[in-house]
Amino acid sequence: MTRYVMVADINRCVGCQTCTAACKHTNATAPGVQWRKVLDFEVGTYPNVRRAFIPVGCNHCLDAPCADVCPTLATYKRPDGIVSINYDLCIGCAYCIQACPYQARDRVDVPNKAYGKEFGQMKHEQKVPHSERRAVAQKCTFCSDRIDYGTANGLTPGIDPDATPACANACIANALIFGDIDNPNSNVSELLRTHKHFQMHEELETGSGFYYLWERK
Amino acid sequence: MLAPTLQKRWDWRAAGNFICGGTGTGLMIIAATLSTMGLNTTAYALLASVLVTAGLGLVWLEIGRPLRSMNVFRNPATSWMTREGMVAILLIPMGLLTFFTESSSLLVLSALPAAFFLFAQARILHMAKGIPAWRTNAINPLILSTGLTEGMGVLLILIGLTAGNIEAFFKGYGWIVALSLVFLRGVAWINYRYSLANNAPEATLKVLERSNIVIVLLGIATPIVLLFMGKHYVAYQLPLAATAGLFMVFCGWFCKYQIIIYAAYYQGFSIAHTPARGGGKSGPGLKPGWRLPQ
Ligand code: SF4
Ligand code: SF4
Repeated sequence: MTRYVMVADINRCVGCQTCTAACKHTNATAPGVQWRKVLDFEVGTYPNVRRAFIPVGCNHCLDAPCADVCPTLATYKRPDGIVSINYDLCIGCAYCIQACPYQARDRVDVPNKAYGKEFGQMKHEQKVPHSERRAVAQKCTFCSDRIDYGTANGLTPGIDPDATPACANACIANALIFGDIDNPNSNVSELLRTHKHFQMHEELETGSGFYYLWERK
Repeated sequence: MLAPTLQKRWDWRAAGNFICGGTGTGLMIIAATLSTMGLNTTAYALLASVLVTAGLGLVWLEIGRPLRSMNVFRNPATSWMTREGMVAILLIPMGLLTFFTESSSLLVLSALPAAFFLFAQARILHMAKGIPAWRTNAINPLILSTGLTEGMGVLLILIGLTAGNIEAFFKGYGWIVALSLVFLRGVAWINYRYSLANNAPEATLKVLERSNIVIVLLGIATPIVLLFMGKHYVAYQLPLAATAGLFMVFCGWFCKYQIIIYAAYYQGFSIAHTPARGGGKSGPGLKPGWRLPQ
């Protein structure tokens, strides 16, 4: 079996938001919509303050609450663990948005204009209107089109850039690592073996596919 | 940004479905129950069906792609929204048929899909794992008990329209049923608040704390007093019962509106640890915006 997951080494992440920009560039999300975000945590009070940059997005949960509640089967789990949305089936009921504990989903009815209404849509936005995403649920796809392309051409997702999500490719610190957790010899399995890690909101038992490395073992 | 933010996706239209659907199905179940106690209640089936239809109509106005709404029936295996839609197809015509045939047996039968619909509504909220105010187990008894109490409330508001019903209500067990429902809803509300206390977004708890006084005074104490007065002051039974009904309905609608619109903060974000960074040491985590057990 294959299950693709993302590992974020938060010792390495410097909060540069390159992954955010790469995602935006690759997926042409509407203004105001970010499938990949990096949160800025400040913990403690002066003088004992710590800072952590936490990449977030869809966790492609094993027991995805969004897929369970979806009345149309538009949200579904692929055999490789990626949680996908069939935009043509989705009725935009937004139930999945309420069911996701990671605020990973959006519904855009009328896209914002990047520079306000008076300037209208930018030229590049007009070229990729993505009208199929209008008024339905949307979220990070783990760049499933790149993975599908890669696996169809004998490439290894997480190793070969053409088969790897854009955010992981773009990361300047190699803090985002993508791979198959079901393969014990994969890059992500190795990292999880050698580092202490946590998943966000573990107590909710979603089986999150996003692991945060916080200390070497 | 890190702390839980208020959901804006389901607005008054979604709340309207829980309000109308809950009251409508509660009315159907209570009308059926009281019909077995000698009250003439088949006419309420029409109002119950209209309320359920209105609730679903409001949801239809809210969804992004209303022309594809028939896709809602595709996932009966796991989605309570699908199940709610499916049972409505049975419930609405059964209610209409009950009204036109004036059949008490059909009314009792209609209470079954009504109960399933009401349960589905509770489960819809319960399965919304992203919203702590909804996903608690205690939401189930609260939605069920308030739906039934609202149904009883509507029935009492209109009880004067059918001759003999008010007398039968106070002579028989009807008023005991009403009292028990108000009481049970009160218990469900306390249980609901208790289930979230000290382990929920701070903003959610503040909304519930603000709502508490309204719910306890107007939704629990007032109808109980009015129902007891109705039992004792026979000459004023009709206005007393109708006023008790008004408070029963108002409180349920208020409670659901608060929970769905104002208390519905998302989970927010949290980390279990801060990183070790180079040769440094790792540190504690953070869950911003939450009131946590001390
Ligand atoms: S993170 Fe949210 S949208 Fe992604 S699979 Fe989990 S529940 Fe679904
Ligand atoms: S918005 Fe679309 S994907 Fe989400 S639950 Fe509704 S139908 Fe499913």
